[in-house]
Amino acid sequence: MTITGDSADNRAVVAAGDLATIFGSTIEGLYIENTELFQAAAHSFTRQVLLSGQIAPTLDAENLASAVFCIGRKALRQFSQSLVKNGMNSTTRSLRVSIDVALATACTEQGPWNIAVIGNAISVAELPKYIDLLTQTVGLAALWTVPKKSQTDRGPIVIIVDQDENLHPMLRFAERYRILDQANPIPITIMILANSIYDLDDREGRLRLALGTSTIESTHITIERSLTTAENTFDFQSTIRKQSPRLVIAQSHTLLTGSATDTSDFELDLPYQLLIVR
Amino acid sequence: MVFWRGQRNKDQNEITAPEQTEIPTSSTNRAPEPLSIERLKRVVDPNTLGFKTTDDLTPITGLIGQDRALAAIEFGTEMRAHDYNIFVLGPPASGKHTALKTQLQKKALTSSTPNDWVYVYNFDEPNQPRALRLPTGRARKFAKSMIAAIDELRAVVPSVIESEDYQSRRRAVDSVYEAHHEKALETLTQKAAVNNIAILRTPQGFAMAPMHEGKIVKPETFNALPDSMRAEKQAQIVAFETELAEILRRLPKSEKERRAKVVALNEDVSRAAVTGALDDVIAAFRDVPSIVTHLQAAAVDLVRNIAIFIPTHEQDSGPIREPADTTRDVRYRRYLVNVVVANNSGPDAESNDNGTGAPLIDELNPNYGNLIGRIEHVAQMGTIMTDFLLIKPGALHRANGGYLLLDARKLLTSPFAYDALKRALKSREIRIEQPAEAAGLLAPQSLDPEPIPLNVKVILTGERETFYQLHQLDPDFGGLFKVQADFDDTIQQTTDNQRAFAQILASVVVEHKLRPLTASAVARVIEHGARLADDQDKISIALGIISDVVRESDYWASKNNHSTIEASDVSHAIDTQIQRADRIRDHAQETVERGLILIDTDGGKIGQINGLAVLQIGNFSFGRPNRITARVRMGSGRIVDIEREAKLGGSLHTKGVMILYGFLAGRYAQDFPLALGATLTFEQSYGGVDGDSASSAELYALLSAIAEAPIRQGLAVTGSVNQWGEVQAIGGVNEKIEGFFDICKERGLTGGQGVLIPKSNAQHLMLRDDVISAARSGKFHIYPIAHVDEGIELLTGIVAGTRTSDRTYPTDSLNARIELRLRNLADKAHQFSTPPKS
Repeated sequence: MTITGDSADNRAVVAAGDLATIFGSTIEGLYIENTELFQAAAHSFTRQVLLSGQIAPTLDAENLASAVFCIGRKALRQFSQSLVKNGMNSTTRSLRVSIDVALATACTEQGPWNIAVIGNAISVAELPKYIDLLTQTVGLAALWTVPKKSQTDRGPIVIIVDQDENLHPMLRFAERYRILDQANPIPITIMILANSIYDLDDREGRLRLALGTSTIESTHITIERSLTTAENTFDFQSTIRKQSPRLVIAQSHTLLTGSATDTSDFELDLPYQLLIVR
Repeated sequence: MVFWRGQRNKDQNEITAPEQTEIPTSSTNRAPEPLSIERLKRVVDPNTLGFKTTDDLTPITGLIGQDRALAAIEFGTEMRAHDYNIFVLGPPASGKHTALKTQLQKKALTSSTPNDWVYVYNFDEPNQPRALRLPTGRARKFAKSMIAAIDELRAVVPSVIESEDYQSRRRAVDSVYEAHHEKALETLTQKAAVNNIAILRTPQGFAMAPMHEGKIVKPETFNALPDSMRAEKQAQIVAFETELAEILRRLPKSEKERRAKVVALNEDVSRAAVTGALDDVIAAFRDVPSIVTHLQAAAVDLVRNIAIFIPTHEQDSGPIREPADTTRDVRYRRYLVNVVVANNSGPDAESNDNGTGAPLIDELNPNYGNLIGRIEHVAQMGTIMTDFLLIKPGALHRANGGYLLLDARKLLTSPFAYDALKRALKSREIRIEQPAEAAGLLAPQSLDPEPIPLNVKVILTGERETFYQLHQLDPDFGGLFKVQADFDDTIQQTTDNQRAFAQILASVVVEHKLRPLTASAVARVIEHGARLADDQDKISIALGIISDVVRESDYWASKNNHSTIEASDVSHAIDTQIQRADRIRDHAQETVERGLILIDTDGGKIGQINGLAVLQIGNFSFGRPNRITARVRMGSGRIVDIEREAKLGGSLHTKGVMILYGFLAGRYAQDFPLALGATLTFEQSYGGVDGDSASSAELYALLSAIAEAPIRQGLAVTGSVNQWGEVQAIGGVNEKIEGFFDICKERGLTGGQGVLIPKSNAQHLMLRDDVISAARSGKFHIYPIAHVDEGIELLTGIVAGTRTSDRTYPTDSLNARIELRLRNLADKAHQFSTPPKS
């Protein structure tokens, strides 16, 4: 999990713990110190504009380093303690590199399959950046993001499927994730995307075949369909919102299609967590 | 009767008595006959009781012979005035408490059930919780209604907040702010980026640096630029910093505006939810204006604080999750209801605290907090906290509108409790405050709950001494407890009362599931009751003690395989009760038997007599003889009470001894000075003496010493005496007789032994069967004495003598001897005081 700023979002920590439980994996916390900040501090004329609106005359590099180091230590300590409360151990380290370098380094050292959790709540405008990060980092299988307004305690898991072969790994994960709380298993919604009704029918049929009989739908999986034609721009946000999901699992390319890349649609924060699969 | 004539010494004009070791025993003209057997104990004939066993009787659960007390209680409960509270006085174990409760319960059932009371949060003055009165039986419903309303809001408000309508309105507010703030930042960032300036987030704010192709320019690269370029870039940075600072300075104000708009939005949205949640409650309690007022205030507060119903992410996923139970969530406490009094009546009654009718509360531990209530505190996060929900009612709250029973001694021995009760009765309200506050001491800031009006009848129960002391020492007491219900200790032993007493025993049998008593057993118990009453014509109604005897009799009946309780079982129970308690008596008797305590029971001695005393140890009392001796000589007329001189004598005993002087002087020394010096003492008595029941014995010893007439040691004496020589009644006559009898019996009854008792005490005799048996066979006698002359004749065998018309006593009488001796002493004293003629 990568952390910047003051501390990790608790929801992200919980997600990291859940993932570790599902996959039986280790957890590493990476605190990313912003290298650009230190580069800026190296200039003699750099000042700090404080949050109160006052301007501090200097930005002392030593003080900055010390402050960033302390903040990082605190954030990593809180991260570790949160996991320890749930009986999990973790390793932590601080890195003064860019996030992509940090992830690449970590994925190289660990793996071969890694999932990264972005420890800070992200704004929707940052989503494309993280999608890029996923696609470009070797050894990174998926990326878990926690938008600022996301809910974590209610709603189904929604899996967005536009290619048949992508369903099974996402569904397997969803099945394991839904029963983390055995007393309250989470329902699953599979949202099928296609360009035509025929394709939708076809895809749905294969899906039902793969899942078993139609009675599955009456247990914990429901199936939704949506067209993504040019005439019917896939209104990603509103369609998903109607499900009120707590977690959306989608492949990176799915999120990059259609109106999903238009950040103007991302004026409003996503109310669900997002697991982006490579 | 043998008389002897003393040898008169003509020269000395004295009479000297011959040596005398035998005491004449024949009767004289005044010595009374012993009491007949029938008078030594009133025997109850079972055949006169009119039943075979108590199963034939209808049990009585109330009291008998307590009409005065019961009428007083009836009067006191009928008087509605706040100062007509009742004090029930009487001995312990008299059944008064049970009778009182029974009578009050009947009264309470027919009285109206009082209102309910609750405490609620005071939204205007939080530390002054408001007390609200509700119609009977509706307090709990009100409390539950509020919980339901809060539960509804907990469910509704989040869904309202999550609704698309609210979310879009909220997003609109936020977006305006975010557009204003984040857009401003975003715009500035973009503008800076266009000018190749990066804006970076630091731990405390922001910093800016020159940028090229998206990367920060290193210092060495920047310094290599021309001065003008560098200056221009730095100037741009300064300008952007200034602009950023301005944006940040505006932030708090716009944040404040945003918050205000969110609050207004929340209130607008929540008003409908709050109204919906409270509408039902208002409708249900529309007839109670104070409730409606409170609900309206609660509604305003709920709208203002609707945020407490909106869950946050920290609450969802943090270590402390919000409780599922509304009543355990601190955020909602102020909207809950503290039910302090909930009575049961009417269709809405939820639960039954006190039953129907007026409440009857018997507070067994009347300390301050239990009486007027308390404000509890809880430790929370290292501090001590309290609120209106921690107000706990006291007995006064629960009894309000009804009756409160308190034990007077327990009340008086609990610090601050009695004063608190008086304060409440005088002010006619229940004000809960800390004892330290009530005492005017510095107290930590706490709540000041609104007082609740008080209308209660307080009934104190206690002993007579307590009642009299309170009247004497507390000026408030008489003004607040105007009714005294005086329970008697005994009833007259009439035929009707014997039957009623038997019915009481029947109720004991039923209550404790015992074997029935036969008529003989009942008769035995009645006799025991008379013994406890110390009176042949009365029966003790100490029901506790009587009940114990019956229960123990049942035990012995079971041991003897009796299907009913027989008289023998009752006797056995009484005997074993005594046996369990009389270890000290046995020790005392042993000291006499072994000669450690000197007591003579035959022969005669001048100036020595057996007095009788009663010792009470715990609930057991027994009699014991005590040697009293008198020595006389010439003196100044003073009778020295050695017990008093040694500070072992109480004031009553001193008074008795002084009366002896009055008798002697009044009878014998009318026309000459009393030149007698005498000492009186209780031999081998080291523990203190009081009372005047031995004054007649002391007088006999004195008279014997003056007349030098031996006293029969086989007789013991009890009775007080007045200045005329009349013997007066004393207490414990049965124990005293039996105490001397036991000594004589142990040594072997001679037939010449017995006890002189005041004649007026004959009616109190309820002696043991072995004493009566000895009397029947002439081996022991009880003599009723009305005047000391009767007694002295019995004790000395000498006629006492009566003054003749010439104011002299017959020459051979004891009184003549005494008078002559005293006159001789006076003459001698005069001789000693007259200086010799030169």
